[in-house]
Amino acid sequence: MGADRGVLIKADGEADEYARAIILAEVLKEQGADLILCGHVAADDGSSQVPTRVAEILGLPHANVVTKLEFADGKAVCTREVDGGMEVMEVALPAVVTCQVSLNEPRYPSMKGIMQAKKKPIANVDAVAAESKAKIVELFLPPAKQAGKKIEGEPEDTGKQLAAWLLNEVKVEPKK
Amino acid sequence: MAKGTWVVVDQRDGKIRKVTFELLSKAQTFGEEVSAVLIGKGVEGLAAELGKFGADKVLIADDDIFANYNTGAYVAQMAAMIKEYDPAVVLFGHTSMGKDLAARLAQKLGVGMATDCVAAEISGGKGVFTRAIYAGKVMAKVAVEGSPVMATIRAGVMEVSESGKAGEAVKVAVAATAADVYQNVKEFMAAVSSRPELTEAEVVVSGGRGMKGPEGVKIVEELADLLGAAVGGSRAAIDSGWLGHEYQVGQTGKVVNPNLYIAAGISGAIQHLAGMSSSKFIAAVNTDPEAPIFSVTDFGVVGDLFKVIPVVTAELKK
Repeated sequence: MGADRGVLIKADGEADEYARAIILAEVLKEQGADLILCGHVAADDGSSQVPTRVAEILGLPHANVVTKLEFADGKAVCTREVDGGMEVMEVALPAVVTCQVSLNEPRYPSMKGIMQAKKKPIANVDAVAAESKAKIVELFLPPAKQAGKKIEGEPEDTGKQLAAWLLNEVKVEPKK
Repeated sequence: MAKGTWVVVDQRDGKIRKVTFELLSKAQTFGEEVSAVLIGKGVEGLAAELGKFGADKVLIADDDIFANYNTGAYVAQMAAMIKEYDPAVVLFGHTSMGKDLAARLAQKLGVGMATDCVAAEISGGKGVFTRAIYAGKVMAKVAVEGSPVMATIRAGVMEVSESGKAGEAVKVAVAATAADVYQNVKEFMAAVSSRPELTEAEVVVSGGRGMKGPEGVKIVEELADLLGAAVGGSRAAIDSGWLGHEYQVGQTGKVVNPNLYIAAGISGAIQHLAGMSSSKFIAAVNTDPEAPIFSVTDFGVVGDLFKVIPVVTAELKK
């Protein structure tokens, strides 16, 4: 995909967002970077914390949920999603930027790229996680939703039934 | 000894987001004094409204520097206030502002935090928060200790109640300076829409691949407007360019929690379900009877949205 090198950080045990941010920040500080790109939310725990915490530890500016990223005069000009609209924000580099879908189209790896990837260096770093401040104490399955009504048939009829359900059960108030 | 519950007010141009009232209402159940933290410019007039929904006190930091939300100034202000007042619990809405501010503040204070929570219990200086992981397939209870205990709470999950507290305005010293500001907000482009915002709407009507194109979008929009609803879309509808990405409902888009969610032509990938399955009532129209969306619906119609939705709209107009 285009990375020149990799760093694989290994740490045993559990680490919450606080502890993970410390580990990442240490490595990033040592390696140095002009721009730190992250996703804006993790697909697994979905907590949206670590990149912003890393920026705080490193004392760098950050911009979250960015959909467009441009550079001018040593600054990053970030268009980002905020509640109620979009915002254009400028931050000095180096900076931490978290990315939202539509920032960019991922390229297809070329054959040449795939072959070259095998030769790219990957450094291993062993880290020790600081003690977590937030701990998972229980995991459970979400309450199973009762399977609701499912109807098939002529649209004229099913549409009417759905409208009746909306009016009588949900009690929607359509604008006349 | 830390005490009291703080709710950080989420507002823009003097308009308070509903999640703030939800948090103030929830905070009543913790049995401690509840303070709303109001940071902004020219916001003093909002204290009474915050009192109505449960704020005993409203701590107000009012200054030009807070005119636009910017992380640096808000974090500096919050950190100074927390140092001075020592609250036990600080809650934020899981909004653009809330998650941005809370994460940076938590690290500055060296505390843990649970985000996007759907339930909160506080006892003995400890918070236990419930949140969804793995796209909602698993729920986790997270214990957060620290001073203060911090969390962001998903909009729409806590009931709003009017407890009619005093909302006593307390002006606090402005601690943020220009040196704290590291983001230069150049422009805010408000979404131009007569419809309510996705994350605040009582009703959401969303369309997916089944919309097939702009004509399908129109059908969905017509029903939405009749119901005073927000319009949303699945990843497929966004990727096809039929709706802008700010309309995306799902794990990486907006998580919505309306009273009613209507899914039209959406099969219901796990990432989409993660963004809407906690809605109170869910209806779906989809041609595929085996579509996963039907596993979360209260009322499902197997059929083509082009044929079914116009009938629904016509019926509701009667």
